[in-house]
Amino acid sequence: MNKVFGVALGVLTAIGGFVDIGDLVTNAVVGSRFGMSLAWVVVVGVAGICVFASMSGRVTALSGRATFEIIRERLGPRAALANLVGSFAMTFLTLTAEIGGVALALQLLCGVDPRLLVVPVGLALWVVVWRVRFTVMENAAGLLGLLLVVFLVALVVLAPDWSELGRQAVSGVPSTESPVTYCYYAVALFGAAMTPYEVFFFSSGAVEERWTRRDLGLSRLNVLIGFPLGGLLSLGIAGCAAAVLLPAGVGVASLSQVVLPVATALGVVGLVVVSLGVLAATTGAALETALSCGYALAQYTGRPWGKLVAPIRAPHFHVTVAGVVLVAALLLLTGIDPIMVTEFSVVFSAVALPLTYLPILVVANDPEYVGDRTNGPVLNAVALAYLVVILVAAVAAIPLLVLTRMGA
Amino acid sequence: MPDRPLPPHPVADGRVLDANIHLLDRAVLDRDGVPVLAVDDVEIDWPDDGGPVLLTSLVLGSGLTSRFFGAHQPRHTRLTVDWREVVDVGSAVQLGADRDDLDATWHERWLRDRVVGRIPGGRHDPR
Repeated sequence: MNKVFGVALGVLTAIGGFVDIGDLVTNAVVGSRFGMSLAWVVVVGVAGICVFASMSGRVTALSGRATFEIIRERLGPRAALANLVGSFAMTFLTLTAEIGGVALALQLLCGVDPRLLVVPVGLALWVVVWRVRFTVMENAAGLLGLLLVVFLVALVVLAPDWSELGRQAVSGVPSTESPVTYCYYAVALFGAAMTPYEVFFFSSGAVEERWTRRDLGLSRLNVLIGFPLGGLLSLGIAGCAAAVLLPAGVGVASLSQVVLPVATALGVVGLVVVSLGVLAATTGAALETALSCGYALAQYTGRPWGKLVAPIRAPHFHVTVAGVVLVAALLLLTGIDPIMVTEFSVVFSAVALPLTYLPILVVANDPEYVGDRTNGPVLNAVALAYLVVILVAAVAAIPLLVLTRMGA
Repeated sequence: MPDRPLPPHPVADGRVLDANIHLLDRAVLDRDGVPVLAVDDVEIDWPDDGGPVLLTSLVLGSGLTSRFFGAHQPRHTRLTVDWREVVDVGSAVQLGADRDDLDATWHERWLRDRVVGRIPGGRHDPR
């Protein structure tokens, strides 16, 4: 029974980590403008995160080493430092977006100006990191994040023309949009699905939960249920936007438009449920990104990290996490738009992808770390193909951002 | 580093370690398995009389800039751990000492005692 519970909790962990403010906003924007014509990117992205997260889970369970320690050992201190600076910046930007998302979700629930909420939200996040046990934190956020299933319920209640959604999914670029903008959003969706912090968090979380060889099955189950379910929720968000916002010609510029289709379908109850779901998902993601900043820096320098020990046992880690939360909250106080930060962060995370995923692939083939459980030829072929896609997305991201003026 | 070529590899009993592969950038754990720091650099004693080249200590937490930019950091400013403290080299370097007894972790002790330990709950063990 304990084991079943462990699996269930682990699965929730992965769901909580997948659907964050970046996925919510990007999928709704895409659904409202492109219908389901970019749904294939979500499928490709989910399969990609499954491939690499399962590798890093296996490496961690067998060697007890988290991703960033391995990146430094394998790429050397210079390339790893470049990666650290890049992914730390992206993760910090994502954290800023998530804190803004928490404030916006609270605004939906109680109508308070989000800027007034930023500091209390930051303080609350810090208290959770400082005091709450890792598993409690993860499971609370994951369980409540499941409320986002309401997007799928709403889609069914809306009873859209399914054949029309299906036709959109295979029709390519819609006639109303340019191919360059289409490519820009394809890269954004791919970046949102494969954000590097998911792997840092997944592997560090595995160390925090003390995974060993016996947990290999648990790791695989986490990945194979959690991430695809997250992908399904993403498609539900895009589907809702395609069913309600696209025909009405409504563009997504705020979180209230993201949840509008749910309110249309299910009324006030739906609105409350979806707002709570968004609150839980963004809170979970804010915690994951804040911790990931601490994990990455501590693992690069080799210092102790994690929530398994009292803060005095990992002082640099706790100072880093508190510092990034503070700076992110201050940044939001200047009045920058969290939705814009979100769109920036998902595109830039596409740039940081190759340096994160290459070392994982290398180490998953190294018997010194994984013993006899190295990658098979099929997995290696798939992973290499993904690295090519990741590289193309990384190279194309910034030019597309400039060319389309952020998808305008 | 002297310009003369490295002496030939000594044929000896025991394990041969490559400093680049097995030591540099590896995690260092103390006697309880708690992470100390990563190996930033190593100190090598290179006698002029042609005697055996000896790895004397690991540089922890202070040798990266000189490794990146090639400067020669004065010895007394480097934070080192004597090679004699090393008890095992596997996927991490294992020390026989307690991390709190090492000079290399002094800023951490400062941060612990002056900042983190003074915030309520800082000493609370989450388990």
